Amino acid sequence: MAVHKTCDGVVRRDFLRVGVAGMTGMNLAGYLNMAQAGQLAEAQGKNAIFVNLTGGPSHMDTFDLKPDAPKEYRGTFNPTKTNVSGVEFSEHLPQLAKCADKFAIFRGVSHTLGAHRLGTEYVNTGNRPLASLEYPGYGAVITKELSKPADIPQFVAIPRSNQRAGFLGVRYAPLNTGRTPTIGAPFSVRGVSLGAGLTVTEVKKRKALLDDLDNTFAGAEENSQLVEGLDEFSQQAHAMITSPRSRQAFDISKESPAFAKKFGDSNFGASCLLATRLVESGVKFVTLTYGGWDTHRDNFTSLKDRQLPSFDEGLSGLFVGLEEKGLLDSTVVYVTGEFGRTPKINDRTAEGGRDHYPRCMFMLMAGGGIRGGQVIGASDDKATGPANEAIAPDDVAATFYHAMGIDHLKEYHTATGRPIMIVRDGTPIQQAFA
Amino acid sequence: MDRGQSYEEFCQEMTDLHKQDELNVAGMKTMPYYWARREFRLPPERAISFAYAFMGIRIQCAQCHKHPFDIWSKQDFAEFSNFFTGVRFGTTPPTGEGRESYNKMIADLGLKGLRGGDLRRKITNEMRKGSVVPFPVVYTVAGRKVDENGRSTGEAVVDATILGDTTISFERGQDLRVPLMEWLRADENPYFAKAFVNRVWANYFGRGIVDPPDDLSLANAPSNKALLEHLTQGFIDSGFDMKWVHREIVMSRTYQQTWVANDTNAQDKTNFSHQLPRRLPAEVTVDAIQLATASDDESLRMQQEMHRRAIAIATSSERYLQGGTPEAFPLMVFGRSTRESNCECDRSTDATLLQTVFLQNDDVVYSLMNRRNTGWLEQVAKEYDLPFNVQARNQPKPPENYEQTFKNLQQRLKKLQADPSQKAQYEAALKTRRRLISQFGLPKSLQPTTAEQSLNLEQMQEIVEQAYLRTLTRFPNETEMDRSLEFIAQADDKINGVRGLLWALVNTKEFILNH
Repeated sequence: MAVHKTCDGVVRRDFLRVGVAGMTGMNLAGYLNMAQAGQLAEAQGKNAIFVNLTGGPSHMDTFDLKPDAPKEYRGTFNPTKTNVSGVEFSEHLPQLAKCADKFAIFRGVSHTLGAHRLGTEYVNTGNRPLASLEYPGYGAVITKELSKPADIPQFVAIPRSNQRAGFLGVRYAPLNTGRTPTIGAPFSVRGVSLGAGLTVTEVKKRKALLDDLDNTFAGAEENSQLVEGLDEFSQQAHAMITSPRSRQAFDISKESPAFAKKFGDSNFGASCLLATRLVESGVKFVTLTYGGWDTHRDNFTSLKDRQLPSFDEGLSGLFVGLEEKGLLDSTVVYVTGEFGRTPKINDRTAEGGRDHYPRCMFMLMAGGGIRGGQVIGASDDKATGPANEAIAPDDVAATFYHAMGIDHLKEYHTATGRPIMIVRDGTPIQQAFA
Repeated sequence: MDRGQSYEEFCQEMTDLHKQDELNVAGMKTMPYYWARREFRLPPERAISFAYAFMGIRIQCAQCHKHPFDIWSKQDFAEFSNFFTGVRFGTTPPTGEGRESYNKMIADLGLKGLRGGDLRRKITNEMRKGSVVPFPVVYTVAGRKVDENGRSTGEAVVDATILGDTTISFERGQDLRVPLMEWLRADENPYFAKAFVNRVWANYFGRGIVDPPDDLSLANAPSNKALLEHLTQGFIDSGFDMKWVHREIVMSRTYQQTWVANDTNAQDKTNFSHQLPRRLPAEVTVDAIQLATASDDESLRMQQEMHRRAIAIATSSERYLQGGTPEAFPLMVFGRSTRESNCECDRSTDATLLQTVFLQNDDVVYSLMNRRNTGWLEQVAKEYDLPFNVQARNQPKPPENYEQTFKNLQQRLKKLQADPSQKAQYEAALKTRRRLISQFGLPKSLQPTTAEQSLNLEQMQEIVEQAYLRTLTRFPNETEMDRSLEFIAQADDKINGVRGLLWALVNTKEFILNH
């Protein structure tokens, strides 16, 4: 990661703006009515995989091409047909074009936070960041709502995540693998296998001693999320270490080469493979981080040679692999960067680059009852903004929670008793499920 | 700082480098190379990190647009960046005598005409050979104005404005940082003293009076303004005496408050009504594990020699943190500052599951407990005459005739040792023996038997007390003592019992939380 040079991008009056109602123009009462009347599809999602494309991938060179735009906008990539008639992607996404029927594409998603940190926080929580409060990431909410005590971590980040537990407290934070796997090589999370010739019996005896001695902070859990979190971690770590399940779940070299092949040979592909394996083993939520999308300079060469080939193979492998394992219906896959990139090509280098552009971006979602092979929303003819009504990140977040069977309007209370909804300003996009 | 120097003098010396006739880089007590850090080469980057470090403010928003939480505009930011345009870091003096001797040195090395990476590589080679080579230093030149995008305009800096506040005019060729540092260190400066005392406070309480401690913006009010003003004024009145600040804080009733909350302050997280349990910082965690598991001699050495502690590890680069040294992994997992900027946010103090996995089951922790010569467990074994067995990780099962093979080897060794002409064979056999032990351990019949092991009650109590002192720095209470004694008494291998106790104590919340 480079130096943190975040530009906030927020002007004061933006805070006063009332939440965007979203594509369907639905308000809260409308949503509740519809949910009651059974007009919103039943949730099917049980697990989720979140792919964070950090740096902000260019929408115009991937899933939202404008071949007829003027030269200074269009870029050098040509569109290619996909297996869904009428839907076209960039020519550098051939594998994804072959499985376009598996996922929905949101176009013209729009917000106003053009700095990496704030944009990232926004798309990882579904809430516009506030200075006074840290919202929990999707993974923390899913862990809180859906996880059960298990000998495998419920929230795993490969290699680490932008989704923090926020006001929910550290007990809902992810297990970071710390590094990315490589195809064909054994992989493990350090410390997860039973250490130094120890037997399970011996470790259990020690743990019993620990539980008896670790009493100094008894009763303090109520007022300290840290103390509460450490208690939780102590049980989780012990369960993981004493069971072989975690160790096996992380080892992607156990997958057959035939199955692993479709993920390509990049670390991103290996991370996608690991994600499918983890979900199959009972992990509720996996985040993958794939950076390098901040293409201010030499946008086209960077995308064509570096970013897109691994992305294309890895992500298509994820969709196809999940389907082969019969997991795509129960696993919601959510793919997004923090913003799109400027439609107009800059002149920083001879080839040109694209800068931060939150006003227009793409997101992808699959599984959990989301109907694949459709485009939701649209951008204008130069991809400079939404063509009609904007889709807010909050709406996509609400859609995601809906697919996971979680009421996005559910209220939590912060440590000081302040009520906060999971996603206050979003409305599930009906079209996604239809 | 150990000379009792004031914070103000310390900061002043950071700009004084160019005045020195002779460079004694290794002996410098201050940090002139602050200005040469790779992340701070561009004027706007320097402006941002200068503001973090000495003013405790985050001005970077104003780099692209008007600051949303404060008064600074994009123009103010660009003006402020101008102060940092005159500092260079490199090997090439701009003009005059220095330039001539540089040219001569390059010509003598036969490197004339080379540029950039080529030149750097060749210079590195020459340095390895022991030649005298030009070495990069910090120096100052006449500043050139930058525009709002941080690009040099070529125009000389004749005056610059400090964040929309004071405008300073320059004489030609003057080091632009000198008037800036003078402004910074003035008693009436609104940031300098406040930023410092707030940072020291944050270190003692895990939370600043303004928090985060480097965000003293208008929109981020102090939780106790009067307190912050008292400390700030006191620091100024003391002549920027850093020891005064530390003394004032640690002698206060507030600092000595318990972490135990009562009914009236249980909800309080911002007003310092009681201490908040917080995780030890990464470096302290690494040292604490070392100290808890070290023999008395080794722990004394660690306390006396700074270079043995984690804080002395100079790098925090990704390459180091991903590397193989035993300290690198825990430092990364416990969130050591990545030192990319001067921002507080480079460091993480969050607790994570992986940290607990590390403490419960990482090889680094096991091998620290099991180390020979410098470990506490081995010391206990020696003191109480107990066998010290270490189970190796994933030790393979020995072959069936291992006992016999090993005994034969022992006999052969004895024979060879007696005959000096067989020295080479003897050494080869010795090597084989070492390999077998490291692979399969000693055969069962040669291992010390557990029946000989005994500790009386008094000895066990001593050990338990030692274990508590070295992990939790306190004596065990009665319940804890009884449970610990029971655990050791039940163990066949007594040292393994003590090992279990040490493991449990290192894994208590009390060990990892500052409170």
